[in-house]
Order: sequence, then C-alpha cells, then structure tokens
Amino acid sequence: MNTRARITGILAVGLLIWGVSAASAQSGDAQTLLAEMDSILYPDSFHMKVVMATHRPDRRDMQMTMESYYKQDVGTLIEILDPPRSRGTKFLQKEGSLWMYNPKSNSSRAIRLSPRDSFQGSVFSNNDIGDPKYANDYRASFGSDQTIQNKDLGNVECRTLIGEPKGPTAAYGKIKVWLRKSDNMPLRMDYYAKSGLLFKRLILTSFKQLAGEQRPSMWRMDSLEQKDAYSTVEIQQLEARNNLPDRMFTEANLTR
Amino acid sequence: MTLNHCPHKKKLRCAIGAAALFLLLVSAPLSAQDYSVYGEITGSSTYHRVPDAAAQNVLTGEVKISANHRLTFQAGDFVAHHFLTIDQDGDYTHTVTEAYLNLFASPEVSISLGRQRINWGTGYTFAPTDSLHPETADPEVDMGFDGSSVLYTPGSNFTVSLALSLDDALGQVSREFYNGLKYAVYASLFAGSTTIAPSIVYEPDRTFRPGLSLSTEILNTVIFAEAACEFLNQAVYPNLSGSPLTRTAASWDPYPLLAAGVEKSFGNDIIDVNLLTEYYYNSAGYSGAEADALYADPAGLAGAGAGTGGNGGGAGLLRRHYASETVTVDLAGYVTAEGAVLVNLQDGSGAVEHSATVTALRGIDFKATGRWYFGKKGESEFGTFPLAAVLPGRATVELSATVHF
Repeated sequence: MNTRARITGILAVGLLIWGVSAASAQSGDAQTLLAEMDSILYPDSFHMKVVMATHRPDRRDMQMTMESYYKQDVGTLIEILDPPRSRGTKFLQKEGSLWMYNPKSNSSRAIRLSPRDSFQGSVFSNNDIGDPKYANDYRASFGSDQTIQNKDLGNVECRTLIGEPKGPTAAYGKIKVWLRKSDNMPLRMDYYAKSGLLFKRLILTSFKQLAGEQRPSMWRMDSLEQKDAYSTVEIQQLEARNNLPDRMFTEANLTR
Repeated sequence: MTLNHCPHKKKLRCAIGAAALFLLLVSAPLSAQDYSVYGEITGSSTYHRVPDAAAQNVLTGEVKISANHRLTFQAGDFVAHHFLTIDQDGDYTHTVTEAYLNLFASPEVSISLGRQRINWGTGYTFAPTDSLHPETADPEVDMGFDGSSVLYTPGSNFTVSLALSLDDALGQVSREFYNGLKYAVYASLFAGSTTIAPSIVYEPDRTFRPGLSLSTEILNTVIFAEAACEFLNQAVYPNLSGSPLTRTAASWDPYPLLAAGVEKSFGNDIIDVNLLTEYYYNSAGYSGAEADALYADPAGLAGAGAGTGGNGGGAGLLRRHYASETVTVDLAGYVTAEGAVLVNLQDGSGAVEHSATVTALRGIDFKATGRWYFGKKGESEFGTFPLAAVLPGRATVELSATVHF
C-alpha cells in the first residue's frame, strides 16, 4: 500500500469515526432535550391535583378529580377524590407495573392492572397517567423542524424529537414530540402503537406558573382511532416535593 | 372490647364502642392536619328461595352504612373502616373492620396499633399463605386482626411487615395468654415486573404456615400464584348449635395449599371486559369422616378441643379443589355487569352470581343481583361454612340502591 492510499484510508476511517460520534452527539443532545422536556412538564418529585374529563361519542361523559404523588425513579401514587363512587380508589405505578386498590370493593387486596390499558375509560393509558417521564423509556433522535399551530400561541416554530423504546416496558412503539425552538416548551406529542399505527395525539396549552416554572396546565389527548373521542387533564395544583418517603410507593401502603 | 358482629345481648357494649369511635372521629379532626371521610349507604331487599323449606322462603331487607375515615397528623395517621347494618326488624349490627393508629417512627419504619389488615398474598378468591387475618362468616367482609405491626421499608421495592395478633389471646379462659399470641412476618420484593412475597404465620398449637406469593405481568396478562404449607392444621368446625366453634387438636403433618390464576382486560370503544380465572387447592381442614360425624352429632365433636376466633388451620373439608371464573363487563360507563362462578371440582357443587349495576347517575348505583347454588348432594360441601351455603336449588335475588358520599 502506498502512502497516498494509506492517508486516504486513515482519512476515511477518521471521517467515519467523526460521523458516528457526531451522530451520537446529536442523539445525545436529543436525549438531553427529551429529559429537559420531562422536567418542563413536571418537577423531579411532586404533588399534584388534576381534573380529568373524558368524552367519547358512545359513552357517558366522565369527570374525575385526582391527587397524585410522584417520586423520580421510585413511582407514582394516585388517589381519586371525586366522583364519590370512585373516591378513595388508589393506583400505584412502579417500573411499568400498576396496582389498583378500591376500598369500596369489600376486599383489602390490591388488583394488578396492565399499564397499557385505558385509565378509567379515558383516552389516556394507565401508563400516561402513572409514568410522566419519557426519557427513561425512550431513546431520542432529532426529526425535521416544523411550524405548528397552538391554540394559545398561534404559529410556533418547533424542533421535533423521535423517541424509540429502550425496552419492552415502554408503552408505545414510538413517540414524536414537538418542542418550541425558543425554550423547548413541549407543545404536542404523537403516539404510535407497536404496529406503527399513529393512534393518539396530545396537545399542550394554557401555560402558567406551576411549581415555580412556566408549564402547560391543560393536556388534551385525542384518539385518532375513534372520531371525537378525547380526554383532558387540567392541572389545578402542582408543587415540588423533595421529601416524599419511599414507603408511600409500596404495595403495603397502597391498601392502608 | 369487641365491636364486630354485635348480637342483641352485646348492644350496650356495641353502643359504647360505637360512641367511643364516634367521639374519637369527631374530636381528632380538631388537632389533625387533614381529615377525610367517604363511604356509601345501601338499601337492599332480598328474596331467599330454599327448596323443601317453604317457611324459609322469605323476603328480607336491610340498610347498610359504611364509612372510611382518615385523620392525618404530622407523625402518622388514624384509619378506620366500619359499617352499620340495620335489618327490617330494626336490629342493627356494627362492624369495625379496621381502626388503627399508624405512627411514622422514621422514613423507613412505621408502627401500627389496633385492628388492621396487612396487604397479603396474590390470590383473589383464596389466599393460601394468609392465616393471620381472621375469617368471617361473610366472605364480603375482610376483617382486620387485633394487634400491632411494624412496617420496615428500606427501599421502595422491598418491604418487611412484622405482626403480632392478639385475636386468640383476648378473652381466653382455657389457654395461657402467651399461647394465644400469633406472630407473622410478610416480606415483599418487587423486581422487574415481578412481586415475590415470602411469609410465615405461627401460633403455638394453632398454626404454622410458611408460604410464598408471586405475581407478574406478561403480554398484558397478569399471572399470579400463591402457595403455602400448613403444618399444624387445627381444623375449625362450623357453628351448628350456637356453641363456640369447635377445633381439633393440632398435628404436625404437612397440608399444602395453593392458588394460581390469570387476569386479562380488553375492550373496544364501547365495552371493557375483564376476565379472571383462578384455581385453588386447600388441603387444610377436617376429614370427610369428621364432617359426617359433625352433621350426625354436633355435640360429639365437642371433646376434640375448643376455642373461638382466629384462623388456625382450615375450616372446611380436607383436600378441596376449586375453580373460579369472573367476567366483568362495563358497557359505555352506563352499566356494569358481572358474572362469577365458583365450583368445587370434587363434588361438583358450586355457586353462581350475576349482577348488573346501573352507574349512569352521578353518586347513585342501582343494582340487581341473583345468586344460585348447585350440587350433587344435599349436604354438599362448599366454601368456608358449608351449612350456611350450598343446598341445591337454593337461590337469592337482591335489589339494591347505593348512594355514595
């Protein structure tokens, strides 16, 4: 091999390494943005009170008030406060597993549920409600920049992230996220089934100061499988809580 | 003081107990950080059909008021679950299923004192590992044990509960107090998507039951299993003549118990369906020969040993295999229908329950329930208290309305 060929080979390998590392760095930046989006949506650990409403064309309209506690890398505990029929019903989500306890069921036992099932008949899944962090479950990469319309903000320039599941515990086959370019505020998310079907869309609006930061307070999840079926979650109260004890997020505590 | 299931003679004690509970619940909120109460009021009418016993074909009615209280303090909370039933004659029964003080000694340790339950096992219809909590005649009532417990939570995925039950020690005249104490340890480890829960319950001469529970989720299907071995098998006989429950002497032979099943939910735009299938096997209890002797001469078994309360070994025939299936359908949020069947696989006896609940109105349910029983023989063994259950052709129809508050 002559010197020119050797130099060409070295340059080719160098370019390849640079290309891979650049792509990796970009992917890493995308992952950082996904984690940043998580922290814009919620603090690391928090207490929250929300009102969830669901409309489906063939079903009774539902509205419920819930209180939830979330501790990062530990779990989520949710209690229904209203309507009276469901009051006291509690949910515990941990690492992709979900339990429900209904004190009016005459049983002291918690029932295990599938995280991918609908949460209380809503368009949200159990996982959407119980696991509000995406960076843990999805590997992010950049998509193309787009301009979308937001009800409160008008036309907004956005960058997009594509999230591919890191493992089998991820609830969706793929997610796509629209972040406002100026501050990475999340405005929209599309959810794909494992089959590749786009079946749910989340729109975030009503930005206000919550737990010391500007955050969306109204979440609307539309079903793309059933016309005019949607659920909304309105955050009424959100406070960062860094002192939540682990014992709150145990099966033992769920039934107490 | 015993507050549960107060008959007429105990009305005074019941009233005092209820008043004490009421005062505690009314006064404690003054110093509590937070107080919440919720519950329901149900009025029901039930028609009972008993074949070949026309006098027992009766219509009964009752009102049931149940409430759940929680007082939250800086260092703990007080929790109470209780209900009051009033029948058509005005007789009432007040039952406290739980009333305990829960103190947070540290972020990892909490101590509970009073009548309480520990979330135990994974079986739905039958919990083989659980001989800590007392059994009741009404399978719909999950009664707590009287005593204390310590819950240690070194991490969110691992908990250990230590419990001391006084159920068999309180009010005992024939046993030493310390021989009536029941000790239990229950640990729960969550790893991946699997919960593993070993446990042991021990009471001298009454029960020694090590066990293990598992549950996991695979492909949107929940799978659970629970197994135990009872080494003392102190059988408990049903109450035939108003006398205390009769117990046999304990023996150190192994009696295995098992429950396993799957649970699956699915649905479409209108209907949500939940299926629960479970098999269980209970080898603790009394033998068929002992059961025949009991039916023939209830007094003849009295000499075998006596005691009240608790759940030492098993109540019912030895070596019972059961299968149960429950189907729950929610129709567009307006109506919930449920069908359940429980069959004794050995004698073919069983029970079926159908119900439909209208949930269209906010805060009010209207429910119709039908129950009927089948079996090959007149004294078909079924459930925990056989004489209270199966007679072929026996059936009930119940209509009820429930207001939630």
